[in-house]
Amino acid sequence: MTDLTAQLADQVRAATAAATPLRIEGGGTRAWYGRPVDGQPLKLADHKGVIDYDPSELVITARAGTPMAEIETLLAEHHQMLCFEPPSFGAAGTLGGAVATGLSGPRRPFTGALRDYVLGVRVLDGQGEALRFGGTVFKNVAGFDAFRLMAGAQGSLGVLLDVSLRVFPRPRVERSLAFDLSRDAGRDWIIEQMRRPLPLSGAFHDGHRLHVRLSGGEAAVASAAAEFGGEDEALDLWPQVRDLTHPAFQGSPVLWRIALPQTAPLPEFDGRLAWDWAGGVAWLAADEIDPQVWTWAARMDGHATLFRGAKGQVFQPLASPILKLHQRIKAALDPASVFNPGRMYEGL
Amino acid sequence: MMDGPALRAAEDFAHAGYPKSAAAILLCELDGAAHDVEEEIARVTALLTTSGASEVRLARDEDERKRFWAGRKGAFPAVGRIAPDYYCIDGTIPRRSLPKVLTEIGRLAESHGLGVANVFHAGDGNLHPLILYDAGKPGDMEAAEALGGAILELCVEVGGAITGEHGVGREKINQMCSQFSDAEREAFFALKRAFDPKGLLNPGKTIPTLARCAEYGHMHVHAGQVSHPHLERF
Amino acid sequence: MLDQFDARLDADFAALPPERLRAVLSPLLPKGGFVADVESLRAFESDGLAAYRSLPACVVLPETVDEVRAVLAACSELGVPVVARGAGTGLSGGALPFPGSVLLSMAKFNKILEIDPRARIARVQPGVRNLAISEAVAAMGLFYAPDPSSQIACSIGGNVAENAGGVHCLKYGLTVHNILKLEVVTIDGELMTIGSEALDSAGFDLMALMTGSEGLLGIVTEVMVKLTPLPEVARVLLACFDDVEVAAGAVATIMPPGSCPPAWR
Repeated sequence: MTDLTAQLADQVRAATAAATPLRIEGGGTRAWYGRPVDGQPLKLADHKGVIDYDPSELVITARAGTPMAEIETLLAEHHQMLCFEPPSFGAAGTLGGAVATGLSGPRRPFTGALRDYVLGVRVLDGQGEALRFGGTVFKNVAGFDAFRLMAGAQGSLGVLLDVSLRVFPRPRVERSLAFDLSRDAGRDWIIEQMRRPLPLSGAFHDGHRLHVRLSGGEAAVASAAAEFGGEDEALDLWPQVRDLTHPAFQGSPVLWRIALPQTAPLPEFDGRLAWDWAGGVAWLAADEIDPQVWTWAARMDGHATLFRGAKGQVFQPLASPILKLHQRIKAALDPASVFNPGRMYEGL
Repeated sequence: MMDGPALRAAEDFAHAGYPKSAAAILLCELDGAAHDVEEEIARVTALLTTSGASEVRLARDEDERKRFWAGRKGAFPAVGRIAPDYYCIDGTIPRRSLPKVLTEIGRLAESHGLGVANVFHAGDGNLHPLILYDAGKPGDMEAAEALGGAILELCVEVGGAITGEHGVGREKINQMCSQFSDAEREAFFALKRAFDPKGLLNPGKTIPTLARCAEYGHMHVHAGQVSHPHLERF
Repeated sequence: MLDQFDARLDADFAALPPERLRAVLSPLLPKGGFVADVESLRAFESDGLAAYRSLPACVVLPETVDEVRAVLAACSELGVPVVARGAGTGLSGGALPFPGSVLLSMAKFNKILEIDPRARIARVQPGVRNLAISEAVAAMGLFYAPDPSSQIACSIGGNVAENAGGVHCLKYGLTVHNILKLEVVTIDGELMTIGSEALDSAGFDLMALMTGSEGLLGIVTEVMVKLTPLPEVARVLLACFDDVEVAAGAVATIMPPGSCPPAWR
């Protein structure tokens, strides 16, 4: 339990005064995600500790440097969990890193994204001023939702100090089933199932088979499983999908994540293709970067990200008016441009 | 959840089937797969009984379910029948503060000389006190406005928010000075300027100026931390 | 009363003569789309917070996105404030006219543009009523989940502006959890697409910023909403208490069950 707000604020003020860029660091497990930042490290890992957790309020508030593993263990002790199923890329991964990168796991299309569960944040702005946006209650429409804006902003808009997250009780029962269905047939099938109120919590195609997870009450899970058939399999598959350690993501120099509308056609580029998020995200393991992927993703009303093998561009290029708006938003909160400059895009 | 005054007004208006002698009622909807809902009904019934409910009743059919909700949805207009005017407040609090906050609201209402009926989204802490007043009576409207402001500041003080779903708009512009610091409000203005540099879109709403907060002059209550916590303020 | 705006405490703009506004804006609008006579303006003097009243300089009722863009660009050029209005059911005076402002009514944008039950989405104009979406898709076994008490009358554009919730939001989420994409016109008349039909987008989460921004950042001209499968059954329990404080204490013990995860997608 250490509160380093004062020291961190001093460092930010000094950086702003000298216009020195800062590279915000947590546990370092997600440093590969995004463009490299040339700046002085601003270390958050020691600014840690759970500030408040009341299971009956369904809220946990912790400092940004708190290891995610510690938070998830604490929640599990009270039969609660983070519904967005954040990926883990190493034991040192922190709450701040998870929120700043905004990544959500296989549960995302069924129970929502990380940003949906952020209730409030405390951040340092470019002046080194600690600002609180949002709070610890679910229904709160006072002021702009600057707290949700921080989720996935990769530290470009401020230094996350504390975060309040909404938590939920764990499902009473979970089961995983595998099906011999092709990528396209499996996707069509899950799209049809999602029109019904079924206890689905995961749908992943590894390139060979479809895997479906069910979560909920005993009766609903049992009746869905009986109807679906398929082959029972171990639930350990899902952490591998979440953390990208499953073989479908491995063994290639380049890994694309292509988010696309669930009913858009799947991409047809060279490489091995898997999909997660019930067909809303395609994962393409390729030997080299084909820039056509960006164009194709944009045409599908989606976007592509290079999870491995990026050279320069990592994230989908933004339309010019949108990029300008991003620059104005960054300038609003970080006028001296000291927070992770260039992390998301050149010139941002 | 509705307290006595709210549920009696709603019952007279909508004939929802609420017990008029109760001090409060709680409506709890469970939806999903049929089997799961059956299990949950048993679980929640037991929980409510243990927590002190004098009676727990399950809506027999879809008609009765709709009637129960019609009473809740009609609670606002219903209250319009027990007072010439009512003013609906919209704050959010952590659920654990509810007993304390209800007591304080009662005390604040008494000191402002007005009645209050309470409607509450129990699941998420969203509070809707309905302040009863008479716009024809000199000073009543202003007293209602002042009481509403005091209730919202109470919400901030227990760690909640000045609006759960109605928005700040013009109504709660002064209470934004309680919820946010000068620097936080300035950050909102900076974000607004990124979209609307001349400040032409919906001016005078949602984010108060520094001048307004200075004039409004209220202490800044921040996430339950007040500057002089030992002082009696209710 | 707060319906009196204060130039010193709120905002100050040079007043424009009404004939100037008419001369500039009227040609940009369809017939009857520019209103400035006091009797007609009265219909727009307040929203659901009826105790607060104030008159705008004029009301404009565009029918196309291009008209919205032209009106906003002209207002920006003139330096005249703009207050957007949906169905006018809001309870915080968000659509209360600022004195001398142009009140931009989105009432004519009342069409459901597309329903795709397979993708579980609908594309709607901002003036469409909240309940009208659920009614239009009920036969497909779907609904639009956020259900504010005013859902029979309130518009989806207003719901986005206020990030409206509803009785069932504990399970189904707020407006921000149930929309995918917005078409937004900025004060300079620029049309921007925010969000996408995919579940996330590159860059900052501008959807989060726009939702609940109460008409301060831009004018929403189209909304893509997510549709949710109707639950198999819904049952209601009514619990009675002899003591308010006991009831208040009981509330904190009720939790979403482990069989019922949040269902926003």
